[in-house]
Amino acid sequence: MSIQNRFSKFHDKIKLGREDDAYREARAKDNSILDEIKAEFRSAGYPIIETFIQGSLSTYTGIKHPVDDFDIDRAVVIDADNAPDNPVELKKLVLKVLEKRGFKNARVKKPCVTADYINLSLHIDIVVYRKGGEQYELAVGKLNSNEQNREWSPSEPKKLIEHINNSSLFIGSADLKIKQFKRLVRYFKRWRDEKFGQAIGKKVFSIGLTLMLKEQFRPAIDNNGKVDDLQSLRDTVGAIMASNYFHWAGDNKYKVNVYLPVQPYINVFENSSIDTGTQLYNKFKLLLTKLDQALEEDSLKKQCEILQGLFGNDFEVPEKEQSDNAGKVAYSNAGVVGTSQGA
Amino acid sequence: MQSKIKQHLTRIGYDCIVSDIGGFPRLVVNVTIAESEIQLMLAAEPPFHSLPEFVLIDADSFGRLAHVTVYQYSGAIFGAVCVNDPDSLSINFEQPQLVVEESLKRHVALLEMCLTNPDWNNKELLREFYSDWLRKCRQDDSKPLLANIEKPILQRLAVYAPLSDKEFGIESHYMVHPADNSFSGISDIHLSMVKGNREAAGIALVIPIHKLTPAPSRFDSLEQWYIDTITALPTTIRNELQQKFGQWRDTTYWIVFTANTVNDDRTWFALKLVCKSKKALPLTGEKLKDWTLAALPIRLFNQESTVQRGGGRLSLSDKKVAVIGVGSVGCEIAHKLSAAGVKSLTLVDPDIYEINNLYRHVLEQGWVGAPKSFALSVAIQRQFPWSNATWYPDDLMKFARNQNMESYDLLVIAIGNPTQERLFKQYLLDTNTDVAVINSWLEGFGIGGHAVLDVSESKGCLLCSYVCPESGARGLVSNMNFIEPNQVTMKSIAGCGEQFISYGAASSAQTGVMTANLAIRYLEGKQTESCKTSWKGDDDDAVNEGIKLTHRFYNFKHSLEYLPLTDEDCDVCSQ
Repeated sequence: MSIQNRFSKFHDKIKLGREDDAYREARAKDNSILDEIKAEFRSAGYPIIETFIQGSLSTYTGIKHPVDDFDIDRAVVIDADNAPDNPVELKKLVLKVLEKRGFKNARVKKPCVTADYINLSLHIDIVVYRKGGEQYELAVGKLNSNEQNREWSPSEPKKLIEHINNSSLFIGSADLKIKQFKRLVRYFKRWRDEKFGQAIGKKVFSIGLTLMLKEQFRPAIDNNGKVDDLQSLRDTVGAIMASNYFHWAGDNKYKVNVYLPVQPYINVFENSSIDTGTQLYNKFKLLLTKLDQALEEDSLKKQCEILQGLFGNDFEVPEKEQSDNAGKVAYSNAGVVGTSQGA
Repeated sequence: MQSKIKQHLTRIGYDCIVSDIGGFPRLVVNVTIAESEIQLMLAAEPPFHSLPEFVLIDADSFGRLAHVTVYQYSGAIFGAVCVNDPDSLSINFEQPQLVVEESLKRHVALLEMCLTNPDWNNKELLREFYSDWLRKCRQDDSKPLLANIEKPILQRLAVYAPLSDKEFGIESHYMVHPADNSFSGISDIHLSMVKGNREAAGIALVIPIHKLTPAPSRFDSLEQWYIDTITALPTTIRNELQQKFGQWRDTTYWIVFTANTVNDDRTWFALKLVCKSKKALPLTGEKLKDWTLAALPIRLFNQESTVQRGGGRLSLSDKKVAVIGVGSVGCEIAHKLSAAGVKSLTLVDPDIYEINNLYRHVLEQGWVGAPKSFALSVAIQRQFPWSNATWYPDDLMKFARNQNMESYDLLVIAIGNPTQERLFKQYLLDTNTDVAVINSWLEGFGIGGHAVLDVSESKGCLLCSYVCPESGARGLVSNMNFIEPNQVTMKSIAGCGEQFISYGAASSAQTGVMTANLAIRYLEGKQTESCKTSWKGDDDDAVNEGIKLTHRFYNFKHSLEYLPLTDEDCDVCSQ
């Protein structure tokens, strides 16, 4: 059994899609909350013209967090001609719905309204946009923000999703490469969740990791189409370290900068601490060393032990050097696949 | 141009003159070989589109020379010298003087060998015995006598006359009675005997010659050569001829001679003796006077010579092979295996031959409506006289359950159905059946074809070619494919049940030939390990249809190579 097969099993364990069973309850909640928000907005005179999923579920890079809740990243959009000047008015409407639904810690943050569901492992972030023509503007501001701190900020949420999902720049075998890239994002996120304390880990934003990966992704696929996620991971981490994301801040400390490729083109880690940048830099460096060790290792068992050290127990280590699945039939997950074979 | 050539040859040291021979000015080159003065006349005029021939003047004064055919022209004796097969050379027709120079060198070199090395000269004369013999045959006897003779021993056989209404085929030839009873029961050669519609034309005698002399030249009469040969036979043979075969009288005898030439090569040639009245076989010069002799072309029609002359291998004749699926790919495989000499071929297919099959299958229109396996078995036996192809109208799994798979040396599966193929592999695993299997398939739009050899006890199996390259788990389509799965590759012009994959007969043939080569390699023991092989075509048609192709297609550079099959993630091979 190959190390790629182990990566594949690991990926199957951690991946989370909106249609997955594990997400079923969260999806149902999302749908019913959305219905209530729509009703609330309508009765307030701000009918919702569009709604979409943001975040990892929209880019197919979601993972199951080992401890934390499921996330819902939901965007609601109203017509710009019909929008109030004060964006916080709309966020209050969202807050009202969430509070009525029994969420705890419901609060209006600068870019979104956020809350945790009491009886479910469910965390919800709802963002509000207004849309004029093709331009989206994000409702920015907290409950008590004054006029200077609340605004409709130009934003391109769909372009960001497209950027992450776009495979057109890959030369050849784009499907294989975009799928490998998405797997790498999931590995990175799990690594982040495993290797950082909760406080810092929350500040190592998924979008920041995803954008670095997208920009520096190095596919590894042999001529037969056999993919090698370990090699790709190593090469991609190497490329990230060799690029310009980490800026020396003196005394072996670093600031990390990753810019959005769409409006508002801000640095995702603008408000992150030097400590976050430094930890990320040092842990990346260690990750690279460990991946190199894994690549040099001949023993599958030892390779898996190294990788388990990076990604946690969901990355399984076989009991013996040979496959622990020997004797079992590893059938495809697919029930039916269309084939071009004939005679 | 002649003077330009003369000028060139003179400049490089040849002694050239222009002589009037037969009313034409001819370029003659004088050379000395082994102290003999030799004159070579350029027989052709530019432009040269093949190697220009020099003829040897006064050829009879040098004795019998190999590769020299003597003839009379305009009162003189010439020898046509054969230095090369004309088709084997590419000629610089823009530089005729260089062509002549090269030809002259080759002529001189050949004559030097003939004149200075008598042993070599004699061996070459024997080697080309049959060619010489053919030159003695009359042009109107262009159809060879077909002779099915198993052993080169003294024997008497019947000769059958051709059917007068047959212009082509076995029945249009004189034929020496087949001594071989291993023919296919429906081959023409067998049927032409058993139908009883051919008249006996006379008697053939097979006479082995222990010491062959060169074929008669122009000056040695056929009659003298015959008497010399009979006289030189060992006494036992001559006595047997006299006592056993010389007692009956007839007007016609076919004498089939056979002898070793060089390096254990055996030649067969024939004489026809005709007399106005019935007489005993003439064995002396005196008795031969009443007879007319004619050299006959002969074509030995036994398994050994026919299979090998056609590029087949006798070593494959005892191999037992089943081809399961005789669609457009399987029929090519079956045909090529038979052509290679596989006699015992089992053809398995439940389908009926349909009109829709005509343009990519080898079977004729007359088979429409017949079971494919039956029709192909007949077609193969008709073409290959020693084939005993049999057939079953079964699908793969039915065949597997009803027959002993281990009784076959090789199973070749060409059904183009990955589910059935994997199911069969599982059946072999479950029943612990040890048999070598080749799976062969192609993909639409001329994109390519594939074959997998699965040899028990060697690394790699069919399921290695089904390991998903991304997950390492068992997949449902082959990882060798050039077309991405889950696309609409079937064309539908008539709705359900009438869909088809678009590929042409050339793609089928290419896949079939590739697979047959792999099968032959395995049967000959040249390929002992499991392996995979593919051919890659153009992507034009697939791209036009909007079909997505795999990473393997774009990176594949090993068409027709035998590549390792094993995949470390194969759950069967990792056990």
